Amino acid sequence: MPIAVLIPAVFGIAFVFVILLTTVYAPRVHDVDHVILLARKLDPSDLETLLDVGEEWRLRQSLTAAAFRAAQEERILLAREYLRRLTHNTGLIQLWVMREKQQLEARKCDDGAERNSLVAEAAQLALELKIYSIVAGFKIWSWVAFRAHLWPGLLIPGVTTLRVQCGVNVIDKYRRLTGLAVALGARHGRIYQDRLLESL
Amino acid sequence: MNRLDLTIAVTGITLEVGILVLMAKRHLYRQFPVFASYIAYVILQVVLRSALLPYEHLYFLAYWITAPVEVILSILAVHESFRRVFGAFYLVRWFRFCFPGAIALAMLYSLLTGYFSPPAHAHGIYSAIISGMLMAQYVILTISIAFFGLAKLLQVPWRIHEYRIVAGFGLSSGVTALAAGVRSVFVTRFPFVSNMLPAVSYLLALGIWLSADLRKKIWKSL
Repeated sequence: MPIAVLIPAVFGIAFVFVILLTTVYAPRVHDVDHVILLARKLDPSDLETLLDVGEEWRLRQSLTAAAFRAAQEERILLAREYLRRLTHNTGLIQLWVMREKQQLEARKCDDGAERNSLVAEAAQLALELKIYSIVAGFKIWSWVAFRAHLWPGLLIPGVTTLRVQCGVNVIDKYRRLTGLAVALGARHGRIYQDRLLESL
Repeated sequence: MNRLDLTIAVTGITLEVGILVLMAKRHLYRQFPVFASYIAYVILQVVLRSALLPYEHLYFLAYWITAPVEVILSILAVHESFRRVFGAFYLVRWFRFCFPGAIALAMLYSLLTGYFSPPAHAHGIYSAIISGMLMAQYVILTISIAFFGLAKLLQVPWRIHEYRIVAGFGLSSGVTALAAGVRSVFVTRFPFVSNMLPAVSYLLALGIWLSADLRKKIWKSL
């Protein structure tokens, strides 16, 4: 087939493929029980401690070079684990708020406007956190792949740089997202609010 | 203009007017100002070209002036929907420059290539415009593929207006690019694919946009 026809054909196939992925194979939305059941516990305070600049500076000053390298390797792996949990929980909340949105559109309720704004904000936060997790995930992957903890002293990357990526302060945004999830859960009853607080 | 051409033209303008009326009725032009401008421009363009049809020289002059504007507006309209859904991407500093920069570079390259190496017996400016218009179809198609790919990757909630606007532009651009490819290789061997299919796909795109405007609910951006 001549290239002049092949190129638009390939673009066309790619276009149809992504349309199918987003329509026929669209992500399945789920309810609040799913979030409670599958969420992986991540305390934003733990993340805050890990990404604390002062703590990292203290480690750099107080430990020997070899000890700091070992500590930094652990901290990088811990950051990777926290990021995985954050991405997982964000995805769960995102699919749940999509369900809430569908339900709000299907039926009218007294607190519809308020819930709608909570849902819209949660969806926006989830999107920002997902973009964050792609960028931060790539950064952590490169540190692990190139064994960054073994680089010479000053070149060892700081885990604290993960705190803000592409303008997203991960701790603030995640705290806000889980807060919104709990607030939305409270509208299903006190028990859901408690269970969400426990699981997120 | 034969009967089929006339039917397509009349159907097209009816659908375009329908879209514009619905957008005005539902105040959608506030949410999608560039897309509304694009539709209004296309209607004016059709009226102007139809009026100039008996005057060959004026018609072609109007065609070469109005066609690039339509292409630029269509790119901006797709970008408008992309930005409404993936506004968060513009928090990434490099994305703010790289995304429009890549589009501008691709367009510049095609314009320069068309201008400096036109086909035999063709004027450089006309060749540049055709080359630019063809590249614009690929730009729109690429933005559409990126839009749906990212929507899948990031599990973005279904937003009927933005999704259908992008799908309509993607469909129309894909078929136009294919028709241009078929014409450049097979010349007049497949007249339906190279001449009629782009018009039919544009009508389909108009149908998709109209179906989006029929929906009342709109996802409010923060």
